[in-house]
Amino acid sequence: MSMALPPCRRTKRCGSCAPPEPVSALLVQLLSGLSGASSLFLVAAGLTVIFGVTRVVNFSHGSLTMLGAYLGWSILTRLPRGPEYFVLGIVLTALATAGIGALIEMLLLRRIYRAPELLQLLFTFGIVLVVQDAAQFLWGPNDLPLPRAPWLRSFVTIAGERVPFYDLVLIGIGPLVLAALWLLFTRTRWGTLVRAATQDREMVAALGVDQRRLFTTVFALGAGLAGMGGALALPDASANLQIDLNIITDAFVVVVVGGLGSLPGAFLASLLIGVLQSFGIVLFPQATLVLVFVIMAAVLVVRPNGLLGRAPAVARGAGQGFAAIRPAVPLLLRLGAAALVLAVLAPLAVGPFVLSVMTEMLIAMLFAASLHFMMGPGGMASFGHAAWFGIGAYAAAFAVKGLALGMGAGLLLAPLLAGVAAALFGWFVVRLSGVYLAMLTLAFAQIVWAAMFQAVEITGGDNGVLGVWPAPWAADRRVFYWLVLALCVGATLLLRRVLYAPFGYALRASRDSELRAEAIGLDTTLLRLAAFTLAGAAAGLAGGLAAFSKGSVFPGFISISRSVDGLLMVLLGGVQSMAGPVVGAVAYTGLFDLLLLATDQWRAMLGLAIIVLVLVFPQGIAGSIHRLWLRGREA
Amino acid sequence: MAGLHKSFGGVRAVEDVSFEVAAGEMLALIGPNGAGKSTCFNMLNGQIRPDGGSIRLAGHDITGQKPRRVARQGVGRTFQITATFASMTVRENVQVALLAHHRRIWRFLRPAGGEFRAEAEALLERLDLLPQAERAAGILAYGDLKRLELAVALAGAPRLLLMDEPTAGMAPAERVALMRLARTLATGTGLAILFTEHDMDVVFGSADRILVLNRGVLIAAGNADTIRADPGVREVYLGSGVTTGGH
Ligand SMILES: Nc1ncnc2c1ncn2[C@@H]1O[C@H](COP(=O)(O)OP(=O)(O)O)[C@@H](O)[C@H]1O
Ligand SMILES: [Mg+2]
Repeated sequence: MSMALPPCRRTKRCGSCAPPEPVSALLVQLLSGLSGASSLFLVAAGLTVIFGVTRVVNFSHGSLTMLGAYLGWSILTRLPRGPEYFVLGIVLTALATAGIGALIEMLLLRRIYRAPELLQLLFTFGIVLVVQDAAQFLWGPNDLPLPRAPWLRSFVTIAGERVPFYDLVLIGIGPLVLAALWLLFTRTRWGTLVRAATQDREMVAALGVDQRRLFTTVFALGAGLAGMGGALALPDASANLQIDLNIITDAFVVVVVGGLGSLPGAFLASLLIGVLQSFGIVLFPQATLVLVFVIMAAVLVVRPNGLLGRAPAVARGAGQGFAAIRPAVPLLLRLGAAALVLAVLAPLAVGPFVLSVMTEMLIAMLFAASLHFMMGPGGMASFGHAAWFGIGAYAAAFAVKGLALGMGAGLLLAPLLAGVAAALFGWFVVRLSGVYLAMLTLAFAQIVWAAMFQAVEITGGDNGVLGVWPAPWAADRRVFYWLVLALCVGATLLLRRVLYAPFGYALRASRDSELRAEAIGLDTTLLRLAAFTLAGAAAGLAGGLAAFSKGSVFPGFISISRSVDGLLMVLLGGVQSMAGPVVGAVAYTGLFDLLLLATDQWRAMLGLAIIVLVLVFPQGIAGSIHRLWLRGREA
Repeated sequence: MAGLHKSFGGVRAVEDVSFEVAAGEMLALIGPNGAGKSTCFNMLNGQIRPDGGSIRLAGHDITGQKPRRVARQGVGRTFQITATFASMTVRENVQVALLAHHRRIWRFLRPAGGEFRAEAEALLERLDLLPQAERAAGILAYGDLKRLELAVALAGAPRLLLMDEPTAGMAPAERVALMRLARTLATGTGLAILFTEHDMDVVFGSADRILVLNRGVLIAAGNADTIRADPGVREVYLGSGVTTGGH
C-alpha cells in the first residue's frame, strides 16, 4: 500500500547568488541562515512549550504551521500591500491558528492526556492526515506563492553585498519573540503557572489551578507561534501541502538538539540548524540533511538531553504493565498452520489482482513483525521504521541496476545494508527512550528519505529506480509469490525464534527493568542495539522484496506514512503476541486497499479512523480487548 | 569501602562512611529513613558514583564502575523498591539471571525455556517459590516479589550480597525463614551479606555486626548488645519516633 504523501524538501533560496567575494558571500549566507532560523524557532518554540506542559508530542504542530501558511496567504492576498498590513495579516494569522489550536485541544487532545505516549503520537498523526485533505480541499493541490510587495523585494547593502531587507526583518523577529516569551513566562502569573506545570504537573493540580484552562491556553499559544512561523516563511517560499511534514521534522530536530521543553535551547538549536542548512546548501548541496544529522548526533553524544535540556524524570519502562509474551496456544498454532496451507495453495485458485494484494500483505507482515520485534520485546517504539524498509528497497534496486547483479544478490544486499545502517543509527537511538526515541527515529527516517531524494545520480531522485524486475525463474507471478511467502514467513518465524532464545529473554528483561537487568550483568544498551539491527535487517528484506514486487523504488518507500502504517498494523494487532503484527498487517492491508478503491479522501478517512480508534480505545485495541476478556473471565 | 561521600545538591546523603564486610559475615546497616542506607548500597554496586572515597572488592578497586561490571565481579543486590522482570514468569526471571551469569545471552536460535531449568527450579525451591514458578512476576504478592528478587540476585552466585529491606511486606514467620536462609548461605558458601532492615527483631536476631547510620554519618558499630546499650543510638531511634521492634 504505497500511501506516499508526495514528500518534498523546502525549496528555499538556494545558492543562486553567485559568490564573487568569499568573505561577503559568507556574510550573506550567514544572514540568510539566521533569517531561516527565525521562523523555525517560532515553530519549535511552540512545540517545546506544548510538550513541556502537556507532555504530548504534537505531531500535528506542523499542520498548524501549514495552516498558518495557507491562512496567511488567504489573508495577505486580500489586504493592501503595505508593511503595516503585512504585520496586521501576520497577527491575524497567528490569532486564527491559536483559535484552531484551542479548538483542537478542547475537542480532541484533552481526551487523550492519559493515553500511552505512542497512541498520543499516533492520534496527532491522525490530525495531520485530516488537515492535509482539508487543506487540499480548501486551497487546491498547487503551491500558492505570495505576490511580493515592493518592500518585500527590497535590498539593503551591507559590506558591499545586497542583503534582502526581509531577511533582516526575520533575523530581528527571533530574538524579539524569545524576549516576549521570556517576559510572558517570568513576569505574569500565567507564565509562572506554566513554568510550574512544566516542572511538576501534579503540584499545580494540587494547588487548585484550573488545569484545563492552562492546557488550552498553552496549546493556543503554541499553535499561534506555529501559525506565525508558517506565515512569516511565506515571502521566501509558498503555501504548500508539504510544509507540515517538512517543518515538523526540522522542529523535532531543533527541539531534541535544544533539549525538550527548553525555550532558550530551542533558540540556540534553531540558529545552529538554520545557519548550518544555509551554509550546507552552498558547500555540500547534496548533503545538507546529512550535515544536520551529523550535528544532531554530535550534540546528543556530548549532551544526551540536548544543549540545555534536563534528564527526563521518568526512567525507561518504569511502571508500565507489559503483558507476558506467551507462546501461542495450540488453537492459534493450528489456525496459523491452516492459514499457511491456504496461503501456499492460493495461487492455484485466485487471479492476479488478489495475488498481488496477497504479496503485499506478506511483505507488510514481515515489515510489521520487524517493527513489533523492537517495539514489543525491545521496548523501542520507532516512528521511522520505513527507513530500513527503504534502504533495503534501494539496496536491492542498486544491486540489480547499478551493480548488474541478480535478484539473489539484491535480496541479500537488502537486509545487509539495512542492518548496517540500522546499527549505525541505532548507536544513537538505543540510548534514548519514549518520545525522544520516537522523534529521533523519525528524524533519521526523514534524513534517509532526503538522502535518497538528493542522490539523484544513484537513486534517480523523485523519478525513482525503474525496471527492478525479478530474475527470469521468478518472473511468473505465482513463483514470485511463493518466493515472497517463503522468505516472509521464514523471516517472521525466525524473529519469533530469536524472541524465545536467550537473547530474546535478555531483551525483554532489559525492557521490563533496566535497573534489574544491569544489576545482573546484562548490557542493556548493546542488547537493544542488536535488536534494533535485527529489526532493521528484517525490514530491509521486506523492502527488497517490495522493490522486486513493484518493479521500482521511490523515495515514497521511506515516507513517514509508511512508518505510521507499520505502527498501525502493530497496534491494531496488539503488541502482546507475535500473532498480533501478522493479523494486524493482513487486516490493515486489506482495509487500506478497500479504502483506496472506495474514496479519494483516503487520508482524511484514515486519519479519522485513527482519531476515533484512539478515542474509543485509549489503551490500544488489543489492550482494551484483553482487559475486556479478563473482566469477562472474572465475571 | 573507605571514606565514602555523596551529596545530592546541597544535601549530604552520606559523609565519610567506612566499613568492611568479611566473607561469611552478615552485616546490618540500620538507621532512620533518609539516613543514607540506600545511597550506600547504590554506591557499592555502581548505581551512583561516589563524590569521594573508594570501594574495594577482594582487593580490587571497583569505585565508580558501572553496575553491570560490578555485578560481573560478584556483587548481587536487591532493591528497596523491588525490580524484577514483570512480563516474564518467575522461573524465566531466574533463568535469565542464570543465563547472564554464565554469559549465555548472545544466543539467537536455541529456545531458552530449557536452559538452566533445573538450577532455576532448585533456587526457587529454596525460596519457597516453586509453586509460583509459572506465574508472571508482575502479579506476585509483595513478599513473594521480594523473595523472587533475592532468587534473581543469588542466581549470579555473588560473593557479596546487598539486600535493601529484604523482609518488607512479609509476615513475621516469613521474615525468620528468609533470614535463616541468608544465614545458611553465609556460613555455607562464605557469602558476605550486607542488609538494611527496619525490624529490629530481625536485625538483632540475625546480624553478626550492626552499623548505625544517621544523617549520612556512622554513629555506632558493634554487635547486638553494644548497639542496644549505645545511648546515641537510643536517642536517634526514640527521637525520630521509629519503633525498635515489638518490645
Ligand atoms: N537521587 C536522589 N536525589 C536527591 N536526593 C536523594 C537521592 N537519593 C537519596 N536522596 C537523599 O539522600 C538522603 C538519604 O537517602 P537514602 O539513602 O534513600 O536513605 P535510606 O535508604 O537510609 O532511607 C535522603 O535525604 C534522600 O532524600
Ligand atoms: Mg532506603
